[in-house]
Amino acid sequence: MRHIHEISATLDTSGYKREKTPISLMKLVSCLVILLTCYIVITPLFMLLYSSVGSAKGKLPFESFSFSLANYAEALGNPAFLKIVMNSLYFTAGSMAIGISLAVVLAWILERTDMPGKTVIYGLIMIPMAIPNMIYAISWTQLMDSKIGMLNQLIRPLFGLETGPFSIYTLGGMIFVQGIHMVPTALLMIAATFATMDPTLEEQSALCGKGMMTTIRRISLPILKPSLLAAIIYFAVVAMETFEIPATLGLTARTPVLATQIYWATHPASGKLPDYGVASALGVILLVFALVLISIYQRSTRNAEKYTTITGKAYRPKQLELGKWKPAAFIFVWLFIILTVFAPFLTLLWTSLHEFYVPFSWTGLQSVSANAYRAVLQRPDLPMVAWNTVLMTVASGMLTVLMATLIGWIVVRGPFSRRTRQLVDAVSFIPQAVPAVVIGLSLMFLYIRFPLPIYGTIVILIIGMITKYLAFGSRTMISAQLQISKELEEASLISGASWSRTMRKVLMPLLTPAILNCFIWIAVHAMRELSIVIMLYSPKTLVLSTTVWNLWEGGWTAEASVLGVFMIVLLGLLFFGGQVLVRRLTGTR
Amino acid sequence: MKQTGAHRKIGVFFLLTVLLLAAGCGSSGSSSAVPNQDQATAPAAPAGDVSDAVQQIYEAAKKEGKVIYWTTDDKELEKIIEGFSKKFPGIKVESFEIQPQQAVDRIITEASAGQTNVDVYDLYYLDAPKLIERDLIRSFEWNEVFGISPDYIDYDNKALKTWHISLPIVYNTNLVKGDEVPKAWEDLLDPKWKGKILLEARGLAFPTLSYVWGEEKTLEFVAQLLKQEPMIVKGGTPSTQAIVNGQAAIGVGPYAFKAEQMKKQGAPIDWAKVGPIALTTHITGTLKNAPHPNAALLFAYYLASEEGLQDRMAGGGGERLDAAMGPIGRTMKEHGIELLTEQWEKEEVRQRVAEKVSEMLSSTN
Repeated sequence: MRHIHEISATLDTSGYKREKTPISLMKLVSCLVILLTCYIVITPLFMLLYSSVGSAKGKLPFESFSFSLANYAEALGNPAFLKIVMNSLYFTAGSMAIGISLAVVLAWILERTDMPGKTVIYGLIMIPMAIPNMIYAISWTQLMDSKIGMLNQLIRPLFGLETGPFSIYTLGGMIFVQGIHMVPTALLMIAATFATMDPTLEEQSALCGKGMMTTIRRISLPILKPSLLAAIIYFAVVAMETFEIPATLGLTARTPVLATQIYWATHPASGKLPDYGVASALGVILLVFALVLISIYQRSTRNAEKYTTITGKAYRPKQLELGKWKPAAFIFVWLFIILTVFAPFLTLLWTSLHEFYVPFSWTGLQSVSANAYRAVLQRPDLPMVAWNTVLMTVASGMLTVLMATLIGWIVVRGPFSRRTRQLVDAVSFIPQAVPAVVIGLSLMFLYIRFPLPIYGTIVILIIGMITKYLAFGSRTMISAQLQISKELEEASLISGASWSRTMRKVLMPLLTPAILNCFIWIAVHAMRELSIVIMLYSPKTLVLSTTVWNLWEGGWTAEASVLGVFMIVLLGLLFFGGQVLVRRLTGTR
Repeated sequence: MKQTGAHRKIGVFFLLTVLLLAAGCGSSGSSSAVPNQDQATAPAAPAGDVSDAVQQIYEAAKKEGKVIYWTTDDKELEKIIEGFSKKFPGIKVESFEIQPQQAVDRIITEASAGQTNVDVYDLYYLDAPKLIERDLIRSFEWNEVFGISPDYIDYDNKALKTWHISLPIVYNTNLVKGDEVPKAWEDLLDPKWKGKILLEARGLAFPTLSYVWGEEKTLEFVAQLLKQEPMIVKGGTPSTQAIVNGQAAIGVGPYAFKAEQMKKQGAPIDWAKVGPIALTTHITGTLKNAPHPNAALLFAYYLASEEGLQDRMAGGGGERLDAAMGPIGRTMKEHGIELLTEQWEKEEVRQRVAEKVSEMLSSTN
């Protein structure tokens, strides 16, 4: 079947001024992007597979190679392996159910209704993304520890209880915290689709006499399928491989999961080198899981035109009136924000104002001090840390979004066979399943031998961030491009515009909300990312996350919390600014 | 038009980022994380009495100009750097904060590519063999040249013992009072502590305690402790926080010197005078292919010298549990507490216990 670009090249356009950009530019760019994607993915993938079958005990993977399946035998031969897998599946399924359900409801309220204060709400909901996972989990222990948790202390007198009623150190507690921590990311992945959905479909449903809930169930949700599936697949792998929340809460709950096993393999008690072999074997299991999910996603979104919401017909996203549902929606949204945003943030702020943790009380208020703020602001390395962080996050965000957008285009409408496009889709997702420490080690190993001066510079950190977040970027941009009808691009090409002009003038503007949201997400996560950065940073490339980590490990909790507060304020401003820009560009309020 | 304007700005922003990246690519090397020293002052002779050999090393070190030190916590370095600069002017100290595990990984990986980016290391005692077996650490006549006591030298002149961390039973003074304070390790098994105990997830103290208790008794003790439904927390800092804020009444994992520091700040925390107590020793030394070998020797010597150790204690870093004990060590001595340091000869048993304990603490019910 001939690609639209080939067809448009054969049309008789005499009388029209035709742009001369040849079709080969499109193929050249596409091939370059595919090669670059493979390059980015191949290093950690190679290290993962190589380590899993060749890494010996007491050696780093590249120090010796001896083919053996001993690492798999050790990983799978753990008597508790089945229990660990079941824990992981329950944890993943439960947290996804909570996170994605909440995100869909919030996305619908914020993008399709006349809810007041949307920009503020959006910005506030995004704030937990700025809090490092471990600190977020610890703040929830301050809230829901069965003995001293603030929420428990408020509720207990009402029921005459001595402890509880909530305990965060249970599988349920782990699922809850992971689930609500997923909401901001899921919201970003889903919201862009809601924002650009053609309202005529819903109007036609209303004209046929269907109520709001039926319309949501039979019209809105099916159209959301690509972005919902993208979110489900992404979070399924994230929940399986994220370790901070299971490590903080799951140890006391005696509920190990796959991610904590990978963590312990690479962070043994002193005296041993990390066991990259076993960690990689577990990582390969995760990779197989991820590839199965990708295959399901590709089958489910096979007929892309079914999911288009942005077509050539003129449309204006319409806001539905909540009417009598407004108070309920208002309470729901603000209760969510108070519980998931204000409570953890205030816990962090409280910690930053005391040398050591003091329960919230009148005595505690009297011992508030700004010493930690003074100490942080007087750090001689603060300007360098701030500059490196800004450079790393902005560059990572922009470059990853650029690559992800082009990958999205290739996967959805590129000039290749379906199989090739599916392969590109799968390859771009692979790094998500590779443990971060393996990514860090592989980059360290490669770039220390590189002829260009990349090792020890900010560039290696950026490469690490692109590697880690390409999967999220590609999920978001693929599902965003699935929503855009091909007829818009085809109309442009047939009218004589070149491929590059069509990309710049037609596709990019329509993708702007998704691009901006994707950029913000990647920038936020790059700013707080630790597992890869801690293996690659150098004296001249100190960044915020490593500084927070070193302070935390050294017991300087107040100063670590101060930096956490700064990060949140900074990112809050970034979100607000980003939201104002998105709403201006899409003409929504 | 608005959209075109916004997209143009995004494009310009992107170009600027690429240009800055190109500039960033060329920068490498190290920088100081502590206040810069005054380079304008002409270097003078080292203060105090030094031998000719040391004088020769110092002259060579001045030409090198700096020393690169990888440390676990550079907030404790201010006094050390001040003292070193007074004794050996003209040598800049560049510190880099990195945890021991990452430091070992990085030293080995860099060495595999023929690079050494650090002069002086700060590692745990049991990390040294990993570098020694790869022939990465320099052996030096520390006693003969610098007069360092043999008690501080280990691994055939390849490591100098500098400071310690002790791992006693720690408790919240609001929740554990008077007679309730444990008088023996077995007191932790008292049913009254069920649900009120904290264990640090790596179980750091227990492998070394097995030197005295034996492997079987140690593992049995940990198994009994797990029946007390303890809170298991990953990391020294969160462990200490959990005791201070009352999430647990009593525990093993927080460090004694951190407990003392927080006690002085008014936190309700203290440590039980119960032995034996396991210690983790920090060591220092220089690497074979250090970029500044003479400056490295001087700085490592200073860290292990009496002046350097006093400076570290004054800066709040760790404990001294050696012949010239700090306040914690003196208290432990007064109570007749046996202190157990890691011994390489017993590493096989210790390692076995460490793996088993770690497995027990991270396992399912």
